[in-house]
Amino acid sequence: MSDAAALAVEGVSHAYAGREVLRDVGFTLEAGRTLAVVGESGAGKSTLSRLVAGLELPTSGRVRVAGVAPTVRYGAVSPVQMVFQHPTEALNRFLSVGASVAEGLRRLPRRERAAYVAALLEQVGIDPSRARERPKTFSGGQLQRIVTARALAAEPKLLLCDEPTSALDVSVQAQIVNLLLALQERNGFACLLVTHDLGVARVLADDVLVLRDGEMVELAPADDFFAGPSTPYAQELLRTTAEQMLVRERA
Amino acid sequence: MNGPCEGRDVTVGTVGGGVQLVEGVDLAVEAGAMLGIVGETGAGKTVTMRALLGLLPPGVRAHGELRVNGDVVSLARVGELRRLLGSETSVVLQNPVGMLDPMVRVGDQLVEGVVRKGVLRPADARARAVSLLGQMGFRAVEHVLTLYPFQLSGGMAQRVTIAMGMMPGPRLLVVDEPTSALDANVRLEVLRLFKRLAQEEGTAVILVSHDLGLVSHFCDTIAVMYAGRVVEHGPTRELVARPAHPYTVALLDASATLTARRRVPLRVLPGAPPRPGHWPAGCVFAPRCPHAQERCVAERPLPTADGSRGWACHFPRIEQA
Repeated sequence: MSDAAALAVEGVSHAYAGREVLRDVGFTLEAGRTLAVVGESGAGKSTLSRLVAGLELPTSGRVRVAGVAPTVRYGAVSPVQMVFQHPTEALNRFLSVGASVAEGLRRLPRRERAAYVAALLEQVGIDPSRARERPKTFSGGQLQRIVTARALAAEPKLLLCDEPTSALDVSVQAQIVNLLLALQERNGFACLLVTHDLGVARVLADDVLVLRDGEMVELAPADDFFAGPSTPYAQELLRTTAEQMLVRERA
Repeated sequence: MNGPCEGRDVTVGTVGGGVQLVEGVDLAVEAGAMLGIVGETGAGKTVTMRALLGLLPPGVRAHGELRVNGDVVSLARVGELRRLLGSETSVVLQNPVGMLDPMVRVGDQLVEGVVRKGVLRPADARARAVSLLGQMGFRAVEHVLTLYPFQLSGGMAQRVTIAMGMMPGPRLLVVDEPTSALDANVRLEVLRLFKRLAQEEGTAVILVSHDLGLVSHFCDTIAVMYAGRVVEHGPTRELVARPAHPYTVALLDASATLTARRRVPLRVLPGAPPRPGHWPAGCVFAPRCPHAQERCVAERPLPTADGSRGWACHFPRIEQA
């Protein structure tokens, strides 16, 4: 079992009310690596992440996280942890941030949790003395760090990041991007990054998967993809992105 | 009368002078041109725009001037600003679906504002709506007029709201964080159509965004805001190629671009901007500035004002002309 890939998606198709939104998608993702999933709205990115998180079962094909089908059970801590676009909505606003982070630490005896929470907050750059505060006293960037700490608490095999930086300011985006890089280096989780921000994908991803209308258009090492995708659709996607992205001609 | 639209010495604070939110902001946009305002959350971008439009929330008051189409209006006179809003000035809000009334057909919504304001008669308003939707790339315009907002895709809704903002033929149009939720290709299309339309009509546009990439491609000039003031402004090309203010440099450096390298950390600006009411005495950026010196902490830099470019920094990153 230990040699199973962190994530294996095998021939997965998925339909809602008979309408197929994913068709025969397959790839594997090894520990310590990041795969960016890109594509327009309706491409199937969200459906793919729901299947990978175990929120739904695919109509056909199978998903395995470290060799096991992902499931969501109340009270259990999943090996797939998530970081979403809007950190304010991801945290329980009635719980202290420390208590939220501690939810991933149920495997530990209660008395050991506080020290772990402090260490995790420290790791993501939040002052551990603020663990008792509620989410409303933190900025968006800080909350995203806290959400990341909560995800790490579960020692996930797979971190699922759905537009983790799109709601943040440019300077804060850079902080979160760097944080994800450093944490992956240290903790070795695999990361599935769903994003429409190809700049963020450029920095974080080892490989890029392009989806269109539920089908895989291209799966390539990131360096090859950004040097020039092989399919016309991906080329067009990259071109329209480049036309809206900062270009610096250094004087 | 197509001179530049200007905000002069825009200063915003809570009533009673408790907390200052924006201080001494000068902005100018030529007719048909686009000015991009960039800066982090809390820098005062939206507050500045609301001050110009007369849309500040209760308890907040502005000083300074709005100059539009030959009129000079004090920002303290909210009634005057409101009279201009919907005729000389206009606005497109952040969330296109939120800006539209879900219970009213697109055609009726487009026409309603200008008719009520007395800018156009109903028949003329309807003709203008048809023409604007056409210019925003709709083909079956008559059909679109009969739709309800829920029947529109995100891209369509955004094009409708832009048409709505343009209905009165404003001299100044403020667009707040447009198209952020749209796919790259849809966004590109919407902004291209919008830019052409604004040029044709000679509308001065202020585009508020935290997306430097977007602003750098569509705006003629850029103003960078930090802690309630403009720290640097200038023509887009020059400002991006040769930023003078260390904050502008930091913003540009922090942007993830397609030429970034895989797994190489981005350059980040440590710390967070000061909150309103906690602005430092000297340069507001000094506490985070990698080049700050004694003078920066002691003395607030005044904005330079030579021609089209300017910055507020004692030690700019480029040689002064």
